[in-house]
Amino acid sequence: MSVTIRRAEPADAAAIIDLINDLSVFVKDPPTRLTADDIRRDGFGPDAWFQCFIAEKDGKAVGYAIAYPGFATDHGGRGLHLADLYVDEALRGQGLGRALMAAVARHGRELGALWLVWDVWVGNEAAKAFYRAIGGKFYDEVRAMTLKGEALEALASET
Amino acid sequence: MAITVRRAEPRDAGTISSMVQALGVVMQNPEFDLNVEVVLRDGFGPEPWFTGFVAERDGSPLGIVVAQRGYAVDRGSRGLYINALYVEAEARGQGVGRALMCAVAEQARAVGGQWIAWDVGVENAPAKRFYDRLGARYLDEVVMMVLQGEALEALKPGGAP
Repeated sequence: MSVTIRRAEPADAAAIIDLINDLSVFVKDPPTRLTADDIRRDGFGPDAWFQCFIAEKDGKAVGYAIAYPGFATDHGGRGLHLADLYVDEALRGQGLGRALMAAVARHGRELGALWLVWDVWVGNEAAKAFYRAIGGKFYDEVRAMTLKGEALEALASET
Repeated sequence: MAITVRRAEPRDAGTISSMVQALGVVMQNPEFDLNVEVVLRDGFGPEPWFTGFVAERDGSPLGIVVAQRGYAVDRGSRGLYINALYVEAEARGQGVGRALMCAVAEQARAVGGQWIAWDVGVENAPAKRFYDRLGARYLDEVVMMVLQGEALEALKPGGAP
């Protein structure tokens, strides 16, 4: 199978909304209030609020990651927040999530980001195992997770 | 004299740097270390990575807040994420923190943000009480806190915390 990871384009907005809603179902959240117009407005252009990456299989979007720049006073400044990561359930275990995370990490490196942080639902054991497997560590004091330093550098170096 | 809150300017870089360090002492976290060069580069360049506000009385800084843009698909898109809030020990209990949070809430509204969020140390009881009084709620699953919707809309300066 041919899977590619690429930056999202405005034409992907509707597909991104579909994937966001697939994630919402998976984590038992209500459907997102975001629309394709919101995605087009906030995800692209010089003043974008976030960057989106797409995993594409045979021309179809099957996963995505949304990240935005962050600034931490306790981790040396620049970093990235991972807002969302999702891979189609039928395609898990094939490295798509890792490839998406690597794309985010590379993007962060280009920006001078020193860390990548995200939330994980406490009950999502599969996600925790995945994140641990890519070098993530629990950020015990606030129960978020962070990836930085050598582990981030290593992930950013993957192709 | 009244407490005023204004957007941070490059001349505040030293204040921000030293207050972040002071916050690290309170948090017993030596990683709170932001030198003046990083503050100047990332707060006041052509593409700022954060927005700062300074609370002062009679020209003397009493506290700071550092925030950045954030995006949350489950909370309805744009918001602001607070990285640091600090009030000088001798200035606490006078509404300085609340005034700084209010400035962030106003900024969020100005940019179309629908939430502000931050982390709180699980053992930082005074901070939790402060945030509780703002109308914030816990995001239990991830031990973070968020202020949004009506509570965000309703946040105004006033009164001692």
